[in-house]
Amino acid sequence: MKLKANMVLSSSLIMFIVFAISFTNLNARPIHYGAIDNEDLNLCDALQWKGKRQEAQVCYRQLFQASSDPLIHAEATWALGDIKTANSLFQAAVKSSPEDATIRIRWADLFMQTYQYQDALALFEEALALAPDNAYANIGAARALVERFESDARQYIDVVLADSSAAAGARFQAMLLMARMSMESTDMLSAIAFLNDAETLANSENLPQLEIYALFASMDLMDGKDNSDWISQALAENPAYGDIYAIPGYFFWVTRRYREAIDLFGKAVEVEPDHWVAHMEMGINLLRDNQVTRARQQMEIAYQGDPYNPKTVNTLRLLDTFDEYDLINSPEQPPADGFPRIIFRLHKDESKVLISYAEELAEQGIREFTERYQFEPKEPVIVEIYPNHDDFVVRTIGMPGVGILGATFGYVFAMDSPTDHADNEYHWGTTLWHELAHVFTLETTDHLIPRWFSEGISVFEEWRYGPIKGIRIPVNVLGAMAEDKFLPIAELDSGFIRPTYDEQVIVSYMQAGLICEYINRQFGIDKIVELLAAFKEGMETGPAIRKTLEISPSKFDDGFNDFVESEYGDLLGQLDTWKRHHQRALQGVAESEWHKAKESAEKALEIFPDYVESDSPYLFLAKANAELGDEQAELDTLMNFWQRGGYTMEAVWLLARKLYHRNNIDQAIKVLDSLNLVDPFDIDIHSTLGDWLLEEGKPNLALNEYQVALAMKPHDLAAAYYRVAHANHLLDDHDKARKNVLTALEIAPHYRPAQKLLLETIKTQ
Amino acid sequence: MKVLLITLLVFYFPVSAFAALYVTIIQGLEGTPHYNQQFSDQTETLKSVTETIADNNHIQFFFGEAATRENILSHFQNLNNTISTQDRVSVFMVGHGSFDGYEYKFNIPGPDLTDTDIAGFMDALPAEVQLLVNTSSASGVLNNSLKNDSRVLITATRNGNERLATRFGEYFFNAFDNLSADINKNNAITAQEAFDYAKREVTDYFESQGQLATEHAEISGTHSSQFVLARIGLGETSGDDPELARLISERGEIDVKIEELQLNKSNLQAEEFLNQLQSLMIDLSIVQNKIDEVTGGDEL
Repeated sequence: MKLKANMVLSSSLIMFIVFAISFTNLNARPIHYGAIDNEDLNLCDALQWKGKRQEAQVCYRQLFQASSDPLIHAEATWALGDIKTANSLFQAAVKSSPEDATIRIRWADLFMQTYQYQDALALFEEALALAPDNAYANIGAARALVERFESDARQYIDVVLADSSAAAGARFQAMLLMARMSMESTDMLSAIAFLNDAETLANSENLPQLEIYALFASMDLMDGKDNSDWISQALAENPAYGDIYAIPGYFFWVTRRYREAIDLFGKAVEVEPDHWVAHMEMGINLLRDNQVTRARQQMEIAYQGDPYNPKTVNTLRLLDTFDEYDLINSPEQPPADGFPRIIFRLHKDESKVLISYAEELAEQGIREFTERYQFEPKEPVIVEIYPNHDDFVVRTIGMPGVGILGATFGYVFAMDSPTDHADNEYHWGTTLWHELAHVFTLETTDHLIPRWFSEGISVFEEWRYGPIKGIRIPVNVLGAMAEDKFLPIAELDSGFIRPTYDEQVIVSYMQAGLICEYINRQFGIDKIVELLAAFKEGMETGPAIRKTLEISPSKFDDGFNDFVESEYGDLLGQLDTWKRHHQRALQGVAESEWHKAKESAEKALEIFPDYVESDSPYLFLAKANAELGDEQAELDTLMNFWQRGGYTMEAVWLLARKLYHRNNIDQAIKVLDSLNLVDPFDIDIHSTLGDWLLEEGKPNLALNEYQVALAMKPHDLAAAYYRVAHANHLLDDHDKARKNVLTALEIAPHYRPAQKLLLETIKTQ
Repeated sequence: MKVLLITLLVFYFPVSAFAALYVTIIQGLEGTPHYNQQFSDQTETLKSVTETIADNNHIQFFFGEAATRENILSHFQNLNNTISTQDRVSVFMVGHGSFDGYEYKFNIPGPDLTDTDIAGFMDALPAEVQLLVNTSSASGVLNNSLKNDSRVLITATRNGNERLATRFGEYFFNAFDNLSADINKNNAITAQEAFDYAKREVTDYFESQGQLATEHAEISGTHSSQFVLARIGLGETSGDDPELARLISERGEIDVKIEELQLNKSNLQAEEFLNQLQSLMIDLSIVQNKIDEVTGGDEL
């Protein structure tokens, strides 16, 4: 997965967010673990939780008739599946007993189940205002905060765990939450400890234990066991307990083992056909496996049962747009006994522009990765590029609003199109390279690679072999490095999965990339390949390091720290000085004080020559050089910027033009061509590039650029057709030349260059 | 490269030998120095371009204190007595407009011009072929009262509710000397070409700013593609050269045939259409080569 650096927080919470949604099943009113204490209701609930649904329904109906308590009316109505009426009844109950915190907590739980997290949180907070020590309100608020992408949910959980006098049911829920979070961080020892505590508590307080079974079953299955006794135990207690499969299914998908997840969600709906969330998750995971038809079937079942689930609705809406996409094979005609290497799913409005650049880059990547990682893809790689960022995110997690740029599910990966990034700061070619590397690292390890290593290789690939080479570390990450925030290698996964500070995910990406860079330099690329093999065997990070590098993880950490110190020690020690020079150079430009700008930019570059973001000192220096009349220095500065991976559009354009005017057309073409991996929808790039390529006697390459420009339906259509015709003519494709030049003339009969080309074309024919 | 333009009636609106073009430019109140500069730049461009296609005596420019309702209405009253049905009239209104839900007002010194005023003087003009360009905010409301087939009507907004200052005018007048606006490469910018160019630039502007567009220009009238607003480059006529006159006439005849073929396109097979088009285009190209030889021109 590739992140936007400034959206780390929300990205880091993806797993947890989906987790909470996953275990919300609309039809089955969730187990409340004593949040409401009513003897008669408890009897009905006990039947429901044991899977005796018919008896439970009768029980709830009778309870409704017999009770005069508005809260019990609301609970029974909810349990009978009438959410709307239950909501009205809770509202009435709050009105009649405004000081009762429990009513608000349970009403909030209903909102949670209908995905209205903001309203739920408000009610939990109202309950806490009435009863500050209410543990159920604390746990509820924690769940709501997690759903709303908030990072401070943990403080509510800690309050409950720290209070041994808190309600047992709430403490039990807190333990389950902590167990799940530990499992997500692959901290199984902590998870087992929390589950053991929860089990003890459940035994002493007679609480339902089905979720404990499901979590233990998850551990067994994740550990490679074919089956788990916990499953049979759960089904013996409640034969319709779909979560005994759905919860392990969740853990399989968050560890990117989507095909196993599909099977588990399938089993969940077998035992509990109205487990709409399991249908939905099965559908989403089928999509991740490119099984679009089966996915739609599951999503439609989920929608019929629960039309309020936003993931279901979003995904169905996304599926409805699939008709707007072209499916393009590469090669166009796969071998009779084989399959296309790549299948692109590109929006029809963009496919003709994106395909040539995406195909060339992906083909190059597949060739290189196959050789470098000694793995040949067994299936086509599916590349999906979405012009609407929210469509891409829905494709990835079912919900919009998360700041990621690309996501890989195995042989399938999806990413943002450059059209959704008007600021031109998105280098889509790099994202494609990054995600394609994931395809190889996931598939070569049967999806058993730890997160840090998969991301590390992808970042390493970007830096060393990607379209813009060079190690690019954001300044905020350098700050974290200066504060010694890198984690030991054996714990690095937690930096991705359960970050403890805002920028930890991006810091972890960079650390993982640097670790791969270090392994490559110190031990060689073969050791990276051997590590992949070790992970395929199911080894964890520590043992894998020991086996392949023949050192302990702590020794590895020592070596890595020395590497970081030798590479970045000087820079980290001067980071504040660099910031001052950078700021001063910026000021110099703003105030047109060009000597000041030049001097400060040069000092900044001396300290940190690899900083090539859009506010790079190279750009200040180039501007200052231009203003001071030193054209050669301006050109050299821009060239240095570009060669180190800078891709700011205006600067690269300027460099290309300057090279062209100095008759260095070959280099000008290379420079301008690099912008196609930033903004391939800039018509001027294609027209200019085509013209320059023609000058260089490369009509075949020029034709490609002209055709891309034409596909964008430019304002000056006659000129676009003429250019294509011209290239056709030079390539001796007279039939196409004739048709295209006539089309140009049909639009503009007096277009002289086209008239002349027509006469020439006819003469040649 | 020498840029030479052959000016031919066939490029322009088909008018009789006695037809003349009358142009009225009204620059409204600017409100701020920024808009003063912007409006002045636009009307300056307009004036200089218009002088190449209309007699100087037929161009009337209202700006500053002289741009009063009284003066403007009086001018149109006089114009009604001067022009014939064969003549053409262009009216350009550059400035700020407003719409209160009932009435459109074009802001000028003293009483504003209302939509009723504008409809009144435009409808009273005897000229059958008219062009009204209003680049002000809220100008779209004029579509309600001024649309008709023979009048090319261009407004910067699609209705009266788009009330923010517009960008359309800036791009519209920029089109007048912009080669990329000349879609059919005939070295003349028609109302339709200038409109298309400006509309596209406005769209690009809002997209590049990541903003929702606050204006949506409108065009109506059947002759928008024939109504020439500007010529690009130098103009040249056949003068006293009979050979050049013959060639120009011949080219005009081919132009007519091309236009007829295009109108008949839907009735022809694709290849048949291309063959006929090719034949005419070859003729046209050869004639153009001969014109170039006579004039020494090497047109773009």
